[in-house]
Amino acid sequence: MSTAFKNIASLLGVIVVATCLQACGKISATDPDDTVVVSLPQAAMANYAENCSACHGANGVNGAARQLADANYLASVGRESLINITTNGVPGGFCPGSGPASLAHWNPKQVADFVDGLLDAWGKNGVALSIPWSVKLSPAGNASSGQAVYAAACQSCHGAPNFKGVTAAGSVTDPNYLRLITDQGLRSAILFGRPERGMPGWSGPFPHQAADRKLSSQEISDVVAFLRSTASQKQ
Amino acid sequence: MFRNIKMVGTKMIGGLLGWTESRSGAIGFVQPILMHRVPRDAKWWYVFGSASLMFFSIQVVTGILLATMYAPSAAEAYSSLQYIDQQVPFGWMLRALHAWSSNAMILMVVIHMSQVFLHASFKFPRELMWMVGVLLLFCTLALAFTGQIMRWDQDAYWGLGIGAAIVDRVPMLGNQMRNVMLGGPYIGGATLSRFFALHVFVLPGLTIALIGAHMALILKNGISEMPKPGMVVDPKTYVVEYEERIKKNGVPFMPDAAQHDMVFCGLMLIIVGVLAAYLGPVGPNGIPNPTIIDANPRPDYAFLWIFTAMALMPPQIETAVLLIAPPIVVMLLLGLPLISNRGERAPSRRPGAVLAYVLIATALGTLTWLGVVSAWSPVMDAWTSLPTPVKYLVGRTPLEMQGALVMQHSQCRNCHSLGGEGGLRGPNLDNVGSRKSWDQLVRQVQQGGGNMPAYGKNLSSAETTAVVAFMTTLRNAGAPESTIPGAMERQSSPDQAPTSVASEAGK
Repeated sequence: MSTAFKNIASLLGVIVVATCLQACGKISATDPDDTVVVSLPQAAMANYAENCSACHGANGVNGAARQLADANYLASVGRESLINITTNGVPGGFCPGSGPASLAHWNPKQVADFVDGLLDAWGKNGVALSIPWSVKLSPAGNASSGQAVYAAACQSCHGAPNFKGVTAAGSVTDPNYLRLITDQGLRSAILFGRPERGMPGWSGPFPHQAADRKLSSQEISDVVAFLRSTASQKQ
Repeated sequence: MFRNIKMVGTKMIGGLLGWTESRSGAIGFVQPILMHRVPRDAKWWYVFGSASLMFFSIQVVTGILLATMYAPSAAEAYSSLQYIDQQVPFGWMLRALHAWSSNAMILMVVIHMSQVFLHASFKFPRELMWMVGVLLLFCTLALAFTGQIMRWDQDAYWGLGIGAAIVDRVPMLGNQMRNVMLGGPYIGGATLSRFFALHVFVLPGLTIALIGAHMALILKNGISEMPKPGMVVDPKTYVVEYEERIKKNGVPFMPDAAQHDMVFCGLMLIIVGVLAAYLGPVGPNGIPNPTIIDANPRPDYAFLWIFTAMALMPPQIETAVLLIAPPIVVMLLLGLPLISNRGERAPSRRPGAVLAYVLIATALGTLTWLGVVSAWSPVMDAWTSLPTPVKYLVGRTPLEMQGALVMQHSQCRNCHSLGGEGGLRGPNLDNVGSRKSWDQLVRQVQQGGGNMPAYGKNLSSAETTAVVAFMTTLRNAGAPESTIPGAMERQSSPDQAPTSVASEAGK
C-alpha cells in the first residue's frame, strides 16, 4: 500500500515541480538575513539543495565543507574536473558524488548541466590560479622546508606542531584531522583558504607577513608534506 | 431418449453415492455438520469466523503454489521472488493474493474475536472454544511474521534482527534461544530454512488441527445466541435451556445461516481480489544487506503497533516490558473465560468489558496509525539536504569541522535533529555536549544502544574522534561541557591503525 502511495506522491511531486519550473524562470533564494544571494538555475538549485547543501552550505557558503560559491575556486578547478568530482565524489574524502553509481543517480547530462549551472551562477569573473591546484600537477614537497613555511605563515593561528592547547583557528597537526583529510584537501585549503572562516588563501596576506607575500606552489607542497610528517612523529 | 439417458445418469450417480456412502459413511458424517441447528438470529454478526476460514483456505492454496516456485535459501530467495513477480505468468497476482488475503485473514480474525468478546460468547460452555481461538490467533500472527521473513528483504532482515534482540534479552537462556531461532548466532542461510519450515509445515499443520478442534467444539456446544439483557448464563441450567430454544426456534446451518456466510465471503473475496490486482504483491523491498544503512525497515501492519510502542518506550523499561508483558497478555487472553464464565452477556450490562475493549482497540489503533505516519521516524534524505547550522560551525577547529562532515556523511541527522531539522527518531543533538561527556559520546557512537545501532564498525577511530569532538562543542549558550571522568580520555594517538580514509588519502 505504502509503495502505491509513494508512487502517487512522487507523481504529484513531479507535476508540481514541472508546473513551478514552467511558471517561474528562476527560483530566487534569499538567505535568512534577506540579503540577496546569487541563485543557481532552478534545476541545479534543486539538485544542489537536495544533494550538496548539507555539507557545502545552503547557498554554497558557510558549510562544513569547502565553499563552492567561490569564483576563483571554480575557475581554477575547471569544468572538466568539476564534472569528475561531481560524478565520482572526492577520493578519500567524504563527498560521495552524485553520478550514476551514487545514491543520487544523476546521469552524465544532469551532472554536466549541474556543473554548468554552478559555473554560471558562482563562477562569473573567476580568475584561475597561476599555480596548479591539483596535487598531481604540483611539485613534490619537502617536509623540512615546509616546517619553516609553516612557522612563518600558519603557526600564528594554528599553533605550533602538536601543540595541544587552544589556538585561534584550531590545530591542523591533530593526527585525527590529518587522517581524515587528503593531501589534496590540505592543498586546496591552503590555496583557496576558507574566506567565510577568515582563513586567507595562498595569496595571503598571512598574519605577520608582508602584504604582497604569496606562497609558491613549491612552498604549499612543502607545507603539506610537513603536515603529513607530523602525524607520524612520536610525541 | 434424452429423458432415458438422464434417468440412467441419475441412477448411476445415485448408485455411486450409495456405494461410497455404504463403505465410508461420509454423507452420514457431513450431513449433521451441515444441518446442525443454529439460532435463528445468528445473522451478519456471525460471518467473520467463516471469512477467516475462507482466507485461510486461500492461503493454503496460494501458499502451495508459491512453494513450488520459491527457493528457501538465503542466496536465492530474493531472486526467486523477483522471478515469480516478473517471469511467471500471473505470478505477481499469486503473491499479491497471498499477501492481501493474509492481511484480510488477520483482520477477520480480529473482528471475529472482538465480536465474541463483546457478545461474551466465550462464557459457559464455550470456554474451550475461546482458548482454542486464542491459540489460532497466535498461529495466525506467527504465520504472518514468518511469512514476512519469507520475503527475505530489508524488512525481513531487520524484523529478524529485532526479534533476535528481543529473545536475546531473556536472562540466562537468551543466547541459546537466539541461536535456536536463527540457527546460529547470526542471521544466515539456516535462519531462512528454519522459518520456511515453520511457515510451510509446522504452523499450517498446527492451524489446521486447531481449526478442526474449534469446529468440533462448535458442533458440540452449538453457536451462541445473540445476547439479550437479562438472559443470564448459569452453568447449571444453560445447556438444557439452550437445547430447548434451539429445538424450538433454531434453523439448520445449511442453507439458512450459511447463506449469510456465503454472501459475505463472496464480497470479501472480491475486495481482496481487487486489492491484490490493483496494489500488487507486497515487497520484496530492498535487498537484505546489513551494510546498507539507507534502509527504512518496517514490520507488516499486524506488528506495526509493537514497533511504535518500542520506539516510544523509554529505553530503561524496554527489557522489563518485553519479558513481562507477553506472558501476562497470553495468560489474560487464555484465562479470560475462566475469570468470567457466567452472568450477563449483553454489552449494555458489561460496561467494564466494553470499556476495556474500547481502550485496547484505541491503543492498538493509535499505535498502528503512528507507525504508519511516523512523525518521529527518520528523515532519510537529511544527510545530504539539511545544512549543518552555520552557528555550529563558527569558531570550530579543523578537526571539529571534519566531525561535522562525519555527522552528515554517516547520516546521523536522518535520526537526530540539529537546529530543529532532521529526524526525530533519536534525541536532538543541539545540546548534546553538555549532556554527555567525551567518553559517553564515544561509547554511544561505537556501541549504540537505546535503539541506536552501533557505528563502531562503520566509523574509523579518527572519524569517531572527529564527530565526538564536534558534538562536545554543541552546547547551549553558557552550558558547561559535561565532564564526567572516565577511562577513555580524549586520545589523539598517532599509532592507531590507519583507516581506509587515511590510506586512500595517500602520501
